[in-house]
Amino acid sequence: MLGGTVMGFYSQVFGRRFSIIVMCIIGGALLYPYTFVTSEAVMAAAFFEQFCVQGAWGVIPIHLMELSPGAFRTFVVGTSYQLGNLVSSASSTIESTIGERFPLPPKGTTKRYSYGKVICIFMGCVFAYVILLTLIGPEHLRRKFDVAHDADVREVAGEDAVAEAIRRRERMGMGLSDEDLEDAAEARREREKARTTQHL
Amino acid sequence: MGGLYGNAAATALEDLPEETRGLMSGILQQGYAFGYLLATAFARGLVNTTSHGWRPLFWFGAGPPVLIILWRLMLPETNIYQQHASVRRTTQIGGQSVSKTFLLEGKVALRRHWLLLTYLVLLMAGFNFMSHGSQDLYPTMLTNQFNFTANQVTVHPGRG
Repeated sequence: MLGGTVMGFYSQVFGRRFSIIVMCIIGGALLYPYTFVTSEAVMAAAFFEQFCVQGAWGVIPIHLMELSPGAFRTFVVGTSYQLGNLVSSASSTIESTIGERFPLPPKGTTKRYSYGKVICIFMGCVFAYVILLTLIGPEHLRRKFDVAHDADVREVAGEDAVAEAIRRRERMGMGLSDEDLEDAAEARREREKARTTQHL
Repeated sequence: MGGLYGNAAATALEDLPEETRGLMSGILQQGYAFGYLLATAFARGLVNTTSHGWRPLFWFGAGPPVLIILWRLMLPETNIYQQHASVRRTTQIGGQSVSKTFLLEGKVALRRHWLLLTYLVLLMAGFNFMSHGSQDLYPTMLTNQFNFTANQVTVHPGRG
């Protein structure tokens, strides 16, 4: 549980994609002890392996939030998570199918398979896939979430409606946060720009 | 679950100052792992300890959502949501209904960002494969291949 918190924090400095990729590389390097150490010492490897997996995951909520368009941010975050989950529900089926290719001598009537090897192969592919996708993907570190910075809303509602809404919120006494003040400044700049272009 | 995840992430992260976003994202996600931990503890306490088998765990599980509903009801919407809502209300003055603006926003977002949406689903598939792939079969590996006992598996410090 440590991994997510630590890496979430560092992703603010080093960037979302960089943090995910570093975690995948270390996680990939730890696969061998994670799946091939047969004594109780495997717990150490498991701790650090899960540190990496959870570390990469810790960046995900804010990475998704910063990537998705403002109009349906919650929909995008929720749906991509859930569809991804749907696809990956096949993972234990895939793993046990691969496992049947690596049988071990049975213990009494219980069939045994070399699952360590399977998890190692499978996770190697998964880490490679995530690194590749993250590398080619976008990143919007510190993207602003407010309407004034949302191009989609402007296209739909029009500049005037956005500026008007922001102004009205100020009059209602709700524009007290730093972000709202920034919005107000930008709205004012835009009004002045419009006025100067009218004069010209 | 997917519906909750998106809304929970937005509620938690939307209004945060930029500098704290990364840390809070990590803490939010760790709540997930912590929940699993609690679930394991409750499962040990509630499953097969009465004559009702696995049912007590689900009876108990029905309780917390009620508290969460009450808690959420008492909290306001995020600032960002309120901004969006007031833009939609403002367009109403121009004769466009709130729901129409909302649908239009969705249409514009889909048209502009369909590639991004596809990318996000593929990325999340990778991430879910990462957590499920490394965890689901792991206890089986420990008992079946490495001959660990059930107790040795339980104290296993997974979820680093």
